[in-house]
This record gives sequence, C-alpha cells and structure tokens, in this order.
Amino acid sequence: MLTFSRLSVALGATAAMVVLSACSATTPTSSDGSATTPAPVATASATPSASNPYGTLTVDPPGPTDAVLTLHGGSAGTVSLTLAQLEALGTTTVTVDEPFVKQRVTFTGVPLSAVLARAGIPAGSYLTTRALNDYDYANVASAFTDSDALIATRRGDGPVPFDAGGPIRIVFPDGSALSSVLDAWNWSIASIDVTPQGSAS
Amino acid sequence: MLLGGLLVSSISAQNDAREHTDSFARTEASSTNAMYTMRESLNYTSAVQQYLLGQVPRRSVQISRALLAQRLSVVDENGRDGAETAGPVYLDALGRLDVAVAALPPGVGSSPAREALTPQTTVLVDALDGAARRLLDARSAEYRIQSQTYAEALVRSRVLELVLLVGSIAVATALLGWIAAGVRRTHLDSRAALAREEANLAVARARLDRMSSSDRGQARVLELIATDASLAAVLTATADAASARCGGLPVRVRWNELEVCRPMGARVAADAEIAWSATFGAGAQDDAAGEIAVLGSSDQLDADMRAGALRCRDLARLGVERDRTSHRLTFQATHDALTGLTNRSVLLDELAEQLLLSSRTGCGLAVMFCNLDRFAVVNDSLGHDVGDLLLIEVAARLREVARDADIVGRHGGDEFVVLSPTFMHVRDVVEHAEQIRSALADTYTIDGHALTLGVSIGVAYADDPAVGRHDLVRAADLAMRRAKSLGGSRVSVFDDELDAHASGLAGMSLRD
Repeated sequence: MLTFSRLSVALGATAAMVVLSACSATTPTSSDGSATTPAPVATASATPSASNPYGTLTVDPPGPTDAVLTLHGGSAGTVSLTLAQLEALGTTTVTVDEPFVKQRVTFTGVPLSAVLARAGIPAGSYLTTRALNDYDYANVASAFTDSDALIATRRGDGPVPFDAGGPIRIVFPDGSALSSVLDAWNWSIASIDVTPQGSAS
Repeated sequence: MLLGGLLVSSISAQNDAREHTDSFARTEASSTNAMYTMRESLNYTSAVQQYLLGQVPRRSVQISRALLAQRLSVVDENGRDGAETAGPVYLDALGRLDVAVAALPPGVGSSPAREALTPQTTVLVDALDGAARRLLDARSAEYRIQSQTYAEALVRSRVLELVLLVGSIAVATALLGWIAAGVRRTHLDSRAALAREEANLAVARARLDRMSSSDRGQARVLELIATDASLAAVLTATADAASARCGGLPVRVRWNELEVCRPMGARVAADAEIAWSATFGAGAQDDAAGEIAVLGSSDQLDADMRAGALRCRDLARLGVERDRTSHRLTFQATHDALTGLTNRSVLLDELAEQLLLSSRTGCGLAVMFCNLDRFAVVNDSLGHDVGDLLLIEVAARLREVARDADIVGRHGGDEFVVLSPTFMHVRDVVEHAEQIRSALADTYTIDGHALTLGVSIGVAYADDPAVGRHDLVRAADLAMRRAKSLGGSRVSVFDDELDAHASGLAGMSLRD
C-alpha cells in the first residue's frame, strides 16, 4: 500500500522530469534509492535510552588492573589490555544504527586494525572473537578491518554498560559489509584469538 | 505523466525490495531472539548454580544477568523486544530469581551462607528454566515467518510489475512507436532488475530455510538442557543440529568417553577427514575434554555453516556445564559439606524407606546413634580447624567399618548415625556397634596432635516392641545419652527401662 501511495505522489511531483528519463532508458542504481527513501531505523528515537529496562541488577566492579581484552596468537604473543591501555591506542567516534535496539547510538572506541597491529596479528589471519558469555564469531581479519570494525569502549559520554554489551563491544559503521551480519556484532567481547580456519578452540 | 509515474513506482518497488532485504539482514528474527533469550537465561541460571557451588563469584552471575538484559532489549522484526516476546510468566520467574540473586553475598560468599541459600534459590532456578523452555513452545510456528515476509515483498513487486505491464501496453498502443520502444526498453530494464532482486531473495530464502531447520535443532538442544535431560541426549541433539546446519554432513560430538555421531546411521571411519572441528570444556577451569567435528572436506562448508557449527559447540559446552553443576548441586543438597556423608534430611528419608522395606522383608533394621565423647574439649583446646579434621577422619573410619548395606550419615555436630538394615538379631547389632566403637576409639593423628576419644553409641532395633512407641532415631539418641551418663565409651541398647524413663518424661522433651 505504501508503494501505491508513493506512486500517486510521484505522479504529481515528478512527472515532467521522468518523462524525459523514461526515454533515456537508464536504470537507477541503489544509491538513488537510499537517498530518496528514509532508512527504517530513522523513525526510532534518536537518543539511546539511559539504561536497559531489563537490567535491574548492578555488576560488582572489576579489579583496577583487570584486563578487558585479551588477544592470543599474534606475533606479540598473548596481549592483555586494560580499558585504559586499550584506549591509549587511539580512539575514534562513530554514530551507527544499532541493529539490536534499533536506535542511533554514538560509540567511541579503538579501531580493530590498531588493536590487531598492537598484537601483531596480520590481515590474513582467521580470527575468533569471544564474548563473556562464550558467544563467538569467526572470520578473516581483513573482513573485520575492511568493515572498519571498532572496539567500542564508550557509549555516548559514559562507559558501555554490561547490559548494553559492555564493557567493550565490537561495532561496525553504517553501510559496511559486516554491519548487516548480526552475528559479527559480538557483545561484551573479551578475547580475540587467531585460530586456524576450519577449527576453533 | 502516467509513464513517469509508472517508472517511478517501478524504481521505488525495486528500492523497497532492496531496502527490505537490507533491513531484514539487520534485524533479529523473533524466533532467533526467543532462542537466544532461552540460551542467555540458561547461562544465567548456570551462573547461579555455579555460584551456589562456590565455583564463580557473584560478579559472574551479575554479568550473565546483564547479558540476558541485553538480549531482552533486542528488537525483532515485529518491533517487539525480547522481554515483550518472552511474556509476563517468564519475566515474573526472572524477577523472583533476581530478588534472590540480589541478596547473594558478594565475591564467592561463604560456604555455609551459600548452602543455606541453595534450596530456595534452586527452586527459583528451576522455575526460570521451565519458563524459558516454554518460550520456544509458542515460537515454533514462527520459524517460517522470515521467509514469508520475503515472499510478501516479492508479491508486492510482482503486482506492481503487472500494473506496469498493463499500463505500458495501454500507453504503448496510444502513443507513437518511438515512445513505445522507449517504454518497452524501460520496462525490460526494470524487469531485469526485479529478476536480479528475485534471485537474491531466492538465495536468501534457501539460506533461511537451512537456518530455520538448524534453529529448530538448536531450540531442541536448549529444551533438553533446560529439562535436565541426560548428557547423551543433549549431545546427540547437538550433533543433529550441527548436521542440519552443515547440509547433512555427519557430525561427531565427543565428551570424554561419550561419543555420538549423527545423522543416525552415519558410518564414520576413525580416520575420516575433518572439515571443521572445535573443542570445548565445562567451565573455564576445566581442560577441554570435548570435541565437535564436522566430517567431510572443508570446501563443503561455507561461513554460515561454520558459524552454525560454532553455535552448536557453544550448546554442547552449555550442556556439559549444566550436567556438571546439576550433579554437584544434587550432591551438595544430599550430603554433608564437611564429611561428604549423607546429610540429616536424606538420612531420615532413607530411614523411612528402610523401615518400609524391613516391614516387607521381615529383616531387622537398626539405628546406631554415635556421639564422640568430649569432642567439645578438642574444639575448645585445639581449635575448630582441628575439630573439623577430626570429624573428617571419624567419617572416613565410619565408612571403612560400615557394611555395604549400611548407610552412614552425619546428624549434625559430632553426631553420626548408621542405619543398619538386614540384621536378624539384636545380638548381631550390638556386635556391629562394638566394632564401630573400637574402630573410632583408636588414636587419631591430626595436625601433629595425637588424640584419643571414646564414643558413645545408642542402638535402637526396629523390631523391639519397646521401640514401637518412639521414633527410631529418637530411641537411639536416648540410648546414646544413657551410654554417656554411664561414663561414655560404650554401647547402650534401647530397652523397656529406658522406655519407662522416657515415658516418665513425656511432654518434657530431652532434646528439642
């Protein structure tokens, strides 16, 4: 029905222009589509909710020197990073469509490429990202970095709450290849391991 | 004008379809959401169980709860989040467990505190597991909705295409040839674009079909885990789910000496080629003793299949973990934490059972109530640690001297109870009690201290008419007290005299 109503609007508004293009016989590409029609998430609230309505419990604080991310299998051996050490690698900020809660959320974090460089993990490696709940996702390192994967350490101005995938999570900018692979958006990521393709430890 | 409108609508139809595909890929399906809600829910209850066993600190429980909260806030394709989909019954069970969890002591807590909390918390864990399991019952019908939505998008495009065609024909007959040629060309282009989109959708549908059958398999595994099914059943279902996800390739799951291979009837040579494999252990502290392997050549697997197999590995790990914790919790609920002997409540259950059995078979049943003499002196002079070690040693000797049919339990403090079935005569019971007394009377060497203690044993024989009016354990307790009052380090049998004495004290409890 939506399409039909759009049809009548289009009839009135763009008639003259499109009669010409009808004869030019070109088929528009996808970039036209995304420019003229709003993304479905744009109707959702632009500000993320302050806290998760289903997370009523607090989490006891970690020790001050507890690592948040451990990388195995790079040329630097096993590398454990605290939140501060991770952020010291240099942060960038992106605002993305968070596909799970359907909101625009601003994350600040460290590009995965910087983290991999720190651990000495080359682009051709096969990586397994593993979360605190043992959820894991495996793909080749270049797939992550080509999608500009970011290890998010902050959401908005504060830390990433545990009930929003904290303390750190992996996010992908809008339009990147892995952005539309939900499995890749590993929440509460705790380790990144180099694994031979075809197996996981 | 008409032409222009048709063209715009055709473009917009393509965009709609494409947009649909995009937003679809970036939206969790409600069935997937329900499944992961169940999984995170099981992770949460697992963490609670592990906390009760002293294996993890409270923080782990809170983190798994936070991850469940994250899952509950995930919005699915119907615009509903996980909590809305889960419904009030589930949220109520979750809320109750949350209240109990909020009251847990921080860190790993002390062992007595945890044990005190175990029974009521376990009830809440079971309730939440039950509610989580029911999440999937209601959802099985929705597994195909995903592909139906795709189909609807396609139908919409098709209807539009039809309108376009009719319109084009009408216009083409009315207008000049060159316009008609242009329209036709445009139409063909848009049609080709639609066909491309349709092909994309077909690929996506095939993938979704495969995923949905695997989802069902994974849901089945979770259901088995939630109902405490046998580990073999869980691992078999896991292998089935992995096999379904990997296009029917045989999948082997191994856990210690347990090994299953699915699909049923798959014959796998020991040296079969392994396309993909992953190991798993139960909990972080255990070495990996499990392996899941997809058999075949690795080029038969795509990234989706690998991801699916990895999910199945996670399920296997969850299954093994749950199997362990539930065994340990059962042990904890039925055994004394210090000595590992049967605890009092189980002892009383056993007694009721043995009484029933002895009334059927006619075999005698005796209860021996053992109490260490002057144990308080050991505790007071050498400390409770030495006292605890002594109790452990006493328990070990009791186990040693007990016959196979005996049930040895700790009644509390320094009181031990031995249920001895199948005695034909009270004489034999006394003889056995004397053996126990002398076994416990030997000198103990605890922490460098040589300790010698007597033990007072009260015996009650179920067939003795004097016992009839008393609870068997209470009768044995009374007899033990007489042994103590006579100077300790002896065996005393409940008899008429004690019965008369106890009756004289009727209404005046000796112990309670």
